[in-house]
Amino acid sequence: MKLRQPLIYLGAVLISLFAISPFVWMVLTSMKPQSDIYSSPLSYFPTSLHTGGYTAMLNPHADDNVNFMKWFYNTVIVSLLTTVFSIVISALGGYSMSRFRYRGRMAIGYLILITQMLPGSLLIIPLYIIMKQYNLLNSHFGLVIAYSTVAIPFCTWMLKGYFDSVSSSIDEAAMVDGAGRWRTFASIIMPLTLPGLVVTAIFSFLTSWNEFLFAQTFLSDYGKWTLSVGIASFQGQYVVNWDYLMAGSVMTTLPIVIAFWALQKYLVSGMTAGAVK
Amino acid sequence: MKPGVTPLIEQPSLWKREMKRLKDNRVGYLFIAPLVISVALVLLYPIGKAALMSFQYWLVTKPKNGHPFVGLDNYRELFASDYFYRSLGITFLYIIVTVAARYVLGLLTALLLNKNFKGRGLVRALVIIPWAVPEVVTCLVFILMYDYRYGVINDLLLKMKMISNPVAFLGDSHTALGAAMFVNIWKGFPFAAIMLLAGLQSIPKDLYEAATVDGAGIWRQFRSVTLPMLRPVSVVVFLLLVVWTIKDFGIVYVLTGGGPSRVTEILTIFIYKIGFKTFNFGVAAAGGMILLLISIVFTLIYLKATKAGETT
Repeated sequence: MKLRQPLIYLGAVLISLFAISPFVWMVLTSMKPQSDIYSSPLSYFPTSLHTGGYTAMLNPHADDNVNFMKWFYNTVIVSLLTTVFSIVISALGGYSMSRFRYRGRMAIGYLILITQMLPGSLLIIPLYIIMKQYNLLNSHFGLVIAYSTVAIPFCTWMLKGYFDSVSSSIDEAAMVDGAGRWRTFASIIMPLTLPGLVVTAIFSFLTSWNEFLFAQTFLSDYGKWTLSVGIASFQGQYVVNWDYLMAGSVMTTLPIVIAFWALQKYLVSGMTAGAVK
Repeated sequence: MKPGVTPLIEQPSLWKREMKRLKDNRVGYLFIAPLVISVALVLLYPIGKAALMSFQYWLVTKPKNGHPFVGLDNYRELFASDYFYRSLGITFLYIIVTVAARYVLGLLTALLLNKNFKGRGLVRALVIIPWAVPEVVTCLVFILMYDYRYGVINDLLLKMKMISNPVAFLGDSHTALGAAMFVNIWKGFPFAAIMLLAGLQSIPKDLYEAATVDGAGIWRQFRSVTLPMLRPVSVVVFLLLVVWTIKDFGIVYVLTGGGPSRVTEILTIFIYKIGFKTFNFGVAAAGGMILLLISIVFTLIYLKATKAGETT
């Protein structure tokens, strides 16, 4: 046993390095002056602390079609609205699937599974036409509808698992005491599954925070863009300011990484609840 | 219940119970209704529309021509294109390599994290970072790191004498697909690791104790206890990865846009380009239907595999 310990540490160091080095490189580059980024031989660490990338990102410059703060704001709004919509609908649906035994329940289960397999690149063309018809192109509302609906099936499946873990005798007790189904659901079962609701909320928030294909296709006006589209747009330009780009990337990533760390315990149990039983 | 107290009064008649059940089920329908409606409107209706479009003439640039039905013309056009078959091949290669690599790397990481050592919590927190970094950001960082002149990967490989000249990883048609796969593997292995770790932790400890008593070595324990016990989780992880990778778009699109000379053009990018570069929505819809068909085949396999896991 003693002999194996160093091997475990070696493995731990290697896998950690593999996992974090691109992230570390991003943070380092965001703080380098351009002379460091384009130096030969390459300097791995900033020779002097450079905040130009961050200040450039925080101040909009309309002439370059860059408005990082606006994109950040757009992304927050879209992600929050998506989260609210999808949680409300998924919680109702998950509770219904967990507690009721009506006809068609199995069919809905299969429906949920099938939606997981729908490729975005197939959906995007008819959705584009439909959104155009209803004037939802280039609007955050249209994006929120699309994101919520894509997130809802998976969220419902996760929440059903959480509701299943709460004994239905609690429901029965509440209803014997005179509470209706709605009261039972809203004031007794929902609070009991709060951790599950948090995980699911985080999941749908992340999905819309990171989404690229729909946002890229539906939003044409750069003032409407989300962070993914905005940041990706830098790359197409013929002069790439890597310090700007990496500063923007750090600011896009940090909220998510912090959320992951804070909630990793719940996230892990939530993701694996369905698979490991 | 005490004997002598007649339960008959408390027991509602069959009829009443049945009515109550029906009424309660109505509430159940009410609760599930928003989900069914939204999925039907935003997912099923567009899929139906796409299926219809795949049999129609639908060139966005020529709206005057209308959208007459053209039978299987769109599919024929697709199957006549060499690039479609190439794209199909690239997609399968991309799926096989990245899924296998993410699974193996995830399993190794999970086995490691299942051991007791100081700093395990920290390693786990670091390992999930790739999962948390947004897709577009991941791609941009790798574009920088892969850079021909200023990329750190070229710098390191040159210093280690593994290459003698810098390589334009994303610009060279020999390396572009591999480079894109590497990014996918980096981003995706934490998911496999975390799922498999949960699977490992659900294996009862006494199985290992029994195996040790029987004189099984580490390798034997791994083969006869760990792998079989991990099978149900492995099946789920494996097929989720496959189905997700079929749908994969962002990573390759941002890294290479399908180039150079279309060597990284996976099916999703192929379809997207037909749709939004040539604006032939009919052919693009036909391509999308093929993609859906592939997904459905894998879904059926998935269902079968999970069912098999439940019964054994």
